[in-house]
Amino acid sequence: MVEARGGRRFAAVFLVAAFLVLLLGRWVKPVNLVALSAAAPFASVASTVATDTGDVISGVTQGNRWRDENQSLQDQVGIVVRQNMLLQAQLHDDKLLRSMLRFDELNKHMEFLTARVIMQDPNSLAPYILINRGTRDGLRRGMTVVSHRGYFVGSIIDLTSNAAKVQLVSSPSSSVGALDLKTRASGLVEGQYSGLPQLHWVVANSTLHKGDFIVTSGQENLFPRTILLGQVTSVQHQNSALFQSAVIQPAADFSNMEMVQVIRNFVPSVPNRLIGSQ
Amino acid sequence: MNVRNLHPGFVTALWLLPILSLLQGTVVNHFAFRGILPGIVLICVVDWGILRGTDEGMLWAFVAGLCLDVFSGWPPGTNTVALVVVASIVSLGQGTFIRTHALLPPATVFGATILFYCIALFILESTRHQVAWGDALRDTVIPVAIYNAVLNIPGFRLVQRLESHVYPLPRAHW
Repeated sequence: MVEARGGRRFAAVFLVAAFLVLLLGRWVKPVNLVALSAAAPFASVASTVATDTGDVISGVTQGNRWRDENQSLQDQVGIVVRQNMLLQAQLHDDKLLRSMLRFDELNKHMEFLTARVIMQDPNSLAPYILINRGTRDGLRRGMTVVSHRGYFVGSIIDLTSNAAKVQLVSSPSSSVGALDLKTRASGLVEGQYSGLPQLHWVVANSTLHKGDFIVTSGQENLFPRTILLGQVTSVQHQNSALFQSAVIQPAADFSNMEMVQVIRNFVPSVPNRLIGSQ
Repeated sequence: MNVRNLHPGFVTALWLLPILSLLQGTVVNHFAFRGILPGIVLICVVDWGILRGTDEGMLWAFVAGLCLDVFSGWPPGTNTVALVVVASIVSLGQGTFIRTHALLPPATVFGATILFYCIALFILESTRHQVAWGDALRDTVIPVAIYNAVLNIPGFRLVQRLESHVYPLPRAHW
């Protein structure tokens, strides 16, 4: 009986301690950052080893399949090239594609710093990544992170000297000013736990179409302008509503991200304390 | 329960769980199936709770939760609370029939995973995060629970081996 009572007391201590960690989260954060800073080099090594091992295993086990796939893809490329010639006749689409594909050329003024993704969030439902660059590389909170193709990934929310936590656009804490590249309808892209991000607060008389490209608007000077966020997959509009919304398929593939680029010379114009309060 | 009895388990938790948490974010994502990541830390904590009971189960859950919170983007403490609550419920089965039947540990991990995510999502929603419950349960939580349950079939054996290594049975002397 005494032992059972002692065990219950012991269990209660852990329950209380766990809730204290949750309630005092803001004060626990510096300790978390120190632990993160210490763990970053180990995470970097583990990530490199895992990626290299995975590549070797995939090469051995799937080599034949890849050769067949490569042949099949080359055949398909021939077809696509012919189709592409037809597409080039459409001036509007051509302009749109060039604005996407020549991202670096169009953004010569931007200074990119390449970073490796060393860790993904341990939970399936948490849209964050950890990169191997930090304050010693000149990074600051709020800086924009794009994929190697220039698609919007997210922004830096926490920093240590050797690592940075990036909040993805699919995070519910993320809110990005956006506009439809074709119709110029503007709104906010907001993420949610599970499911795709949504473009909210678009006034009802603006036009949104399935397939439209959504880019950053640059409003409030939080993010650089005209970075591709994604494509509209469906539009939700009620006749009586003042605003409409749309579901966005992000352009960047978050599931298999190894390298990203941080836009180093664009620093948001709002104070750090506001960015940090997300 | 004598506090001294906790030492081997505590020491194991201190070195094993940080390593598992690190592997969870760096290596386990290579085993993602359609974007679904198995939760090796959760599996380990639940199995240890089944084998060692409430005290050690909750101790492991607390240490594991702190480690996961370091790497997670969730508000600090979310993993800790969710894991400790899950462990407190799961550990009640220690010493009963849960570990005597081959299918019960995977079934326990299945339920524990769903409970873990429900608690975490509840905390997130109460801290003003948008949560799409239906999508989250259908697209992430239940697939992760199935993945964890399947992974727990070999996983439980490994944790049993670890337990017999940490707490070796006294040898009979003739």
